[in-house]
Amino acid sequence: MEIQATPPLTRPHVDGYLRATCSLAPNHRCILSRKEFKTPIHISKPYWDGHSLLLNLMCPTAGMLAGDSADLDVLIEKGASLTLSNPSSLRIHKMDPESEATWNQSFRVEQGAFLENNPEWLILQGQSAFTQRSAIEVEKGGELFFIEAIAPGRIAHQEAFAFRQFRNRLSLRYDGTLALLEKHSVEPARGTASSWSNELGAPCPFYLSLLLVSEKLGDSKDLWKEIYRLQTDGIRIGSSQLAHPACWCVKILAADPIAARKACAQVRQLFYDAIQRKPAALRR
Amino acid sequence: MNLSWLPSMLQTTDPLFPIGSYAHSYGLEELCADGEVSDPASLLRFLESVVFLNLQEFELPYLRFAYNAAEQNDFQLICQLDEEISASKPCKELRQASLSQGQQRLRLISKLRPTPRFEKLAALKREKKIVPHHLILFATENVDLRTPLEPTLAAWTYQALAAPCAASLKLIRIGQEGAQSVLTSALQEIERIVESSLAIERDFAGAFLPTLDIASQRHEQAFSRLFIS
Repeated sequence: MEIQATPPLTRPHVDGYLRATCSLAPNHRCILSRKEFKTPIHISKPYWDGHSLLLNLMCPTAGMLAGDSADLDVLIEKGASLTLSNPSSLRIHKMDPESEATWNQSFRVEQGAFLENNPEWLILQGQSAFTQRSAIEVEKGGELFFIEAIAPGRIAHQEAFAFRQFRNRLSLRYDGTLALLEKHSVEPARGTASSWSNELGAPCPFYLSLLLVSEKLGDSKDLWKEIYRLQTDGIRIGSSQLAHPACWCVKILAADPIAARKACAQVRQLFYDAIQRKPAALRR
Repeated sequence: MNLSWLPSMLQTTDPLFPIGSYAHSYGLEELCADGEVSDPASLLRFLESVVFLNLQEFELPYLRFAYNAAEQNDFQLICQLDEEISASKPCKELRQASLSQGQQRLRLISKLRPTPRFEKLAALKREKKIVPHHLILFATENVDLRTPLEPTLAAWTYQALAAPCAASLKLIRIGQEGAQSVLTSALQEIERIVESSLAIERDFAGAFLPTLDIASQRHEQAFSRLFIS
């Protein structure tokens, strides 16, 4: 008698998306001229504060589960300004071996346009696997403030670096030049989290990467000195120019999430001052 | 046994070969200033937790991609890899270190042992299609020498481990014998690192090194420093 192979267990999952375009209307207000979304992504009613259009992105499910996926395609048209905020953490939950959740996002910022992407923490919970791909294109004269905030587990519950795999690939192109390409596969069991968990000294598990893009940053020596001075006990922070002179990156490692967010808020204010824009109130 | 490649490879991996590697600490100086690396034990931990990871996940895979591209004379791919290497370094100092050593190696090898591949790389540099980075030159040079892939990867690994050990002599209380002891311990892992690197694919080839990135970024702003990086 032939033994039939057991079919793989298929769990219910969601494949969601957000397709949005922010345009500058003839009355000089920014509007969402395209908005299409599907669970696990939900968006708030956009709010125009006179400078930037604030759009809150929410995940109405508990977070990302095995097999879930999300695709974001966001365009900020010439002269428009969009602040994309995510008011709650994105949790990647425990999942079966061999399964993973995926998040693909692409952002295009046209000439004279501005994008701030300011999400809450991405939390890689125990036994989770997550792949994130981000492609950012900024045309010459466009401006960007882009945050990645990642926690290696539920630190308050003594869970750190217990996730199975975190694959992250981010590319930033400015005026056609590849300014940044970050890609890695972090698997604590394979030892590839050793720099993040910092075997050299005190643990600072909360990681923030901030991308700052503007032609106005080239000569901002005072800005980088100010950022250098933000280092305190429990906060490590550095900044450097990327492979295009208009593109900079600030990296932060922090012992606790509140200190990390405080340093991030200070860098945000310094950046907005340097490019002479007004930051949107995030209302969270 | 054909070992004709060995003397030439030893010549250009020797610290005497003037590409300026002695002027770089590759982030170690700032970690010493912070007190995270202060003795032989913490220097070895730095090599194990940071340098090994960078080699296994980023440098050796990219060296292999460049070696294979040079073997195939695929100069379009070499240009793409050179651009990716530039963009993969979020610290200007580390990018400049790779770039200046690459340019020195291109200039010297073109003079000492000119080959059609090096002429092509020099032409691509003139056309501003490559920078070129040190990894690209090292790979192409060893393809020209007919060094097999694994010894090429092992030689690069040796250089990457020896350089911070040499820099440590000026940064911490360690002494020549101490630095050699640390290097000897690290060298035991070369075979494992090279073998692990062979499984890394280009889509996610890269190392997550936030402690090193921040240290190198802060080194750029440091009030005083001995090393360029």
